[in-house]
Amino acid sequence: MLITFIIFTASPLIILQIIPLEILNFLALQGFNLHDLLTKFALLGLTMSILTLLKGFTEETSISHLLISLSSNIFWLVITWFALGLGSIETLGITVISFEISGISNTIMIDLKLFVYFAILTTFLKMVHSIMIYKKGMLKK
Amino acid sequence: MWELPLNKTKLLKITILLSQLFSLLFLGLSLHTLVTVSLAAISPETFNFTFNVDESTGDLFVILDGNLTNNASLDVTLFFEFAVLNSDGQNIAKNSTSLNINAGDTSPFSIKLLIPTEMAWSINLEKNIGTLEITFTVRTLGDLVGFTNKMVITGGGEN
Repeated sequence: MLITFIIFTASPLIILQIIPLEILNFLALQGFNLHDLLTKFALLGLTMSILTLLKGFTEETSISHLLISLSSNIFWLVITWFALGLGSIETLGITVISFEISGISNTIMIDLKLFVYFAILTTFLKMVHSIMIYKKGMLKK
Repeated sequence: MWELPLNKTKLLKITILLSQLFSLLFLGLSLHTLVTVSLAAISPETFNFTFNVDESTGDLFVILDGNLTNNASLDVTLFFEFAVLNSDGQNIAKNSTSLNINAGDTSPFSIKLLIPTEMAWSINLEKNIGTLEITFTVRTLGDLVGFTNKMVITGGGEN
């Protein structure tokens, strides 16, 4: 839980403190709100940490443990989509940023769809794993 | 009788860990490749612009050529497109090229734009007439991961 909290909640907030305000304002003027992105990321991380904490309080064989595990797997997928889409979950790994410098308008597109598919596959396997652990525990009972 | 030392649950756990590790590894490698090749491509040392006028017809030739080195660890496919548009947004000249560069290799590229003489006088970027569009795409990991930058330089923008 502590590692999840450090990586997904504390780190984005620390990065926000480190980056000079001028850079954040410059990026915001170019249409890329890094402050908003990192704050949302920290909030998603906090939810993930709470789910991990709750999971620790439940028994591996209980239905609540299974439900929390499945929820945290889905949340993991959402965080991955959020990170790969630079804050846009709905674009599924495709990020489009437009900005203008000295009268030259730039449109940048980053295509990381492949890793979204990898994340979907991994989440599916994680969910199967959670169900297998639950079933194994039930058989032991 | 031979028996698998790992049960299904442990095997699945290892598969998940390996899948996550490979995803991270390929994400890192592909991002490094995209950034390295993009920076090399936009470097002024990579390409030359040449302007020529065909004296018999008066047509203007714009040639962009250079050598691009892929200093990253994955092979890439590059796509360049240049277009010159008049003040009405119509294409006066447009050309593109695509090339594959293996990791560590250098490849030459060249794009030639022909602007007919009657059109050549209808563009003047310094006087805010006409637009230059440059599209540059780098793709890697079997074209599954990519980065595209489209620059639109409108005449008079820097003045």
